[in-house]
Amino acid sequence: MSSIASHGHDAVLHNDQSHEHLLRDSNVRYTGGGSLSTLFLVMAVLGLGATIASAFMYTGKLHAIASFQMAAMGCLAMCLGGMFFTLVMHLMAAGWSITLRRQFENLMVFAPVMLIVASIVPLYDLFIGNGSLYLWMNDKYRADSIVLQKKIDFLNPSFFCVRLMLYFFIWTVIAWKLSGYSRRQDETGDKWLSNKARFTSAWGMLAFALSTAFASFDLLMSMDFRFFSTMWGVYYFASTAFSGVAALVLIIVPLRRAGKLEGLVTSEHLHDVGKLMFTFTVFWAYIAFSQYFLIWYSNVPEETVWYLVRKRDGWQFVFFLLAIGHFIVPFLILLFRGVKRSPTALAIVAIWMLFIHFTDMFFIVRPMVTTRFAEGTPLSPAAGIWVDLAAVFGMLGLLGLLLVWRVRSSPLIPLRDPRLPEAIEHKNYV
Amino acid sequence: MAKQRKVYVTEGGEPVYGVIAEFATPADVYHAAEKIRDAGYSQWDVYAPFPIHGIDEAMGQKRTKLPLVCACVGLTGAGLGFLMQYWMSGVDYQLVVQGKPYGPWEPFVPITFELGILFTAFSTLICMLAMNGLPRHNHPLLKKERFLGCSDDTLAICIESADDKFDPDQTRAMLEKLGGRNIDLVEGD
Repeated sequence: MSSIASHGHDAVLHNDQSHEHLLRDSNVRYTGGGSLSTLFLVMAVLGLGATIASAFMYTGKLHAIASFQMAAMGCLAMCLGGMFFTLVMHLMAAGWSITLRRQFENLMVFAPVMLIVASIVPLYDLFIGNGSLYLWMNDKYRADSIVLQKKIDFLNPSFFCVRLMLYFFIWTVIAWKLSGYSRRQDETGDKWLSNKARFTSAWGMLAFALSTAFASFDLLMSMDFRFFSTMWGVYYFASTAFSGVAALVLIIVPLRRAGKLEGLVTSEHLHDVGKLMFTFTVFWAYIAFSQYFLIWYSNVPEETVWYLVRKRDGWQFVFFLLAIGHFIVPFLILLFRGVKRSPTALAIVAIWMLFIHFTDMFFIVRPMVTTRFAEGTPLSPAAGIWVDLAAVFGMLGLLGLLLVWRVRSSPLIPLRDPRLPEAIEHKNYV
Repeated sequence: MAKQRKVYVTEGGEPVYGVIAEFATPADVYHAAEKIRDAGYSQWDVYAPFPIHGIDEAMGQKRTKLPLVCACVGLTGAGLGFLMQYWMSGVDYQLVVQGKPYGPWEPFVPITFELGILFTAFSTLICMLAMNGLPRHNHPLLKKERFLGCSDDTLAICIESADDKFDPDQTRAMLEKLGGRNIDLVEGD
């Protein structure tokens, strides 16, 4: 590559100035957050407390565990999104995003934790609750349903538990290895750790893809054992990337507000993060529509049953809210260059994206409260909505609390990554 | 009253297209572009055999209006695509397919999307060509033997006589001061 061609003015104009001053402690370490932790703690205690309390109120136990599971799966998606972006950045040897990678790593390490949280309800259903939310765990259907008996090789308690442990193992290894390499590089400056991380990402991406897909089958799709969609793993993956990048924005922008990351995460980086938000908005829409469209067209009863209960009793409004709010609104807003380059505008879009992401989980999980075949009266989405809101607030408080602790525990960027200069000089020329 | 633009003519009677100057390095041409921008010129261009990062800002180029046109035409295309299908299968020639309702939105989405893309692609290409004044068969600069080096190893700036601030002597002097070499008058219109 001819240096005169690509960086003609850079070399002359910027005079190859050193970036050392950007790496001063006051810029790359976050030490505050005490009141933020308190806020998150209060959110977690109040939210999750209200969810648990609601199990003993008029809304009932089933509603409470459905809300809890919805919130847990939403937060798990955010953490897995962090894992996906960390993996893909290592795999592509991405230079521009080095200053963002640490925050993706911070999200990633909580994937196993959120998996434990998301396993509480299925394990409860399996051993105590007799399949209240996960219908295949219910004795009655296991005895009577021919459909379920055909699937018993996959949907049986022991294999289910093995799979949960396998997901936990895979995500723990990936998170522990990649996060470990990154932090060790901060101290030793060993550039070969980048290569090791890349090697881990090669098999890690495959393991991540399969484990995420199967986890989404086990933890979301299997709630209604009659339903199946080969698109389901991709659908949940689209949500992980969508919510992961939104979560990143909500970590980065407040850090910038607090006077950190000056010259390290600039509007150039935010511009590209905005492009990722746009990408996964479109990707989610493509996957969600493809899944719905094929099921609508082919009209096979065990598939359409899933959408039928979600297009009546008020759920049709949620259906169209998702079409508009999960696709059209962020699509049109993120088309504008100025939005992607403005931290405030991007943070507002990210908040909306997280809201609509949890609405998506709400749409998947909550109708299960009344989809118990012919049992129960139809429950509109608005009925007892406070339980769902409380669960989401509580779970976000829990994740936020963990994240604040994690963000404080290390530098905000990989300090000695060999590609750091590339990230600092990153610029969009269009 | 519209401002009358001065027309410069060479001694031989040829109209003047502009003044061209060569520069030694990308940094030189970059800094020269900044100065010319700050001097208030608008009808001029930088010629280089490779992209120079950041030259747009150095030249003070405004962002293109092309995306706005594309968005409008694209949304028009998508809307027309949807209406076409709705009118055909929902209004004009209703047909029961698999017991589905007349004019459902679901099967219209792929073609609506495709027509949106088609309209956007065509409008992008056509508007890009029109905004750049393409296609054009000849250009006054192509008469200059040395200008042909701009596709090989020469960096040049040409300030056109169409610019309000253009003055044969002052513009030439400015280019000289900015480090321009082989400064030459370009004839033609």
